[in-house]
Amino acid sequence: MKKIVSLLFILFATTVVAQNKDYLLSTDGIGVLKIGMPLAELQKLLQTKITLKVIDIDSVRLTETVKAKYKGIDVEINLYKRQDNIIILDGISSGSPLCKTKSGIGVGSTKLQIIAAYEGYHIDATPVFEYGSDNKPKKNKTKSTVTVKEDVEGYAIIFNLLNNKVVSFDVLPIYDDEE
Amino acid sequence: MKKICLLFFIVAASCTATQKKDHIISMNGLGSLKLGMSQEEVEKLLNEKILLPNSLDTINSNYQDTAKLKYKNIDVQLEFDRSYFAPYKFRMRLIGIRASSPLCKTASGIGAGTDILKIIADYDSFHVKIQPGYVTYYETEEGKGKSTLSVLDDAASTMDYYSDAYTMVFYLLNKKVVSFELKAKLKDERASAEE
Repeated sequence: MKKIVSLLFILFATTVVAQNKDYLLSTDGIGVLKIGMPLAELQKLLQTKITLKVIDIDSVRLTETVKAKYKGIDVEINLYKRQDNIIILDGISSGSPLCKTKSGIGVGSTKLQIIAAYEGYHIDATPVFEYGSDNKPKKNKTKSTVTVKEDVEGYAIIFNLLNNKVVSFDVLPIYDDEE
Repeated sequence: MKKICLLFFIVAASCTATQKKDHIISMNGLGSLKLGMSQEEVEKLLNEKILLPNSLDTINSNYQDTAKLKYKNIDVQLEFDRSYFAPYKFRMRLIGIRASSPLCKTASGIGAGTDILKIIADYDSFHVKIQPGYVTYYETEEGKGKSTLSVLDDAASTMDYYSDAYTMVFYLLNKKVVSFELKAKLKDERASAEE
């Protein structure tokens, strides 16, 4: 009986670890979904065929956003057609509470928790500004974002906050930090 | 005797309050030293002639200059920028104040020794940027434990340069403030004159 219980425990622990790895949020992606991976590999991992409605149809437009399921969670995928005509994963967005960073940051975390967890990173915590018909910026009192980057330019996680708590996040490359 | 003590206490208290006011850090200046002041106004305030060699140089386009001075007994580094108010006519305006004196504090008590998380909590509704190293306009001084925290007002955050935009920068070592810099991006005086 004892053996069965310990075997069950090991099995359970392994499953939890594997699941955690699947939803691990980092600056380069979520789990095995990595920014920059080609569409063919992405489709293999998502076990689905992505039907393109913009790229390859409209020759001018090089980006497209599609909704997909990854390990049971809803994700939004940004695709980008490179100059060599290879379509790559260029961004992922989700609001799933299953996704967490190594230090446990995810949906529900606060701005201070994010900042404390990312010591040594480039962090940009800003209220959301909305532009009305007068084209003047108006500060939104409840919405804000916290962007975390390893370097001035490169892959970033943007945490979207409502009333100071994370509600969703995006992983994407930021190449130009000129402000 | 009691009356003398009371009088003494009142004088001491008012002196402390004035001193504190002189060293209050805000987005737009330090005490009565306000960003946007002209060189002449700063000279009058400090009761001192400021030498800015670059302000005389109209050939090499050296628009900015700094001066190390004393303000109310503390060391400050002031940065000036050339501001044209009419064709070929300019004055130098104060666009930066840098200091590290522990006497300088914000109204909520942020100054040398304050922890990074207190700054973020105090400026919760502001745009805050944190960068590794000591980041200035020209270069980044890297080093273990060094970081820079900038608090941007709404104009600086949205790059609304039709308004004066202010940024308060704190330089930290091991997450504690060691010095600060107040910076302004001032709107063009010529545009204001035309309005």
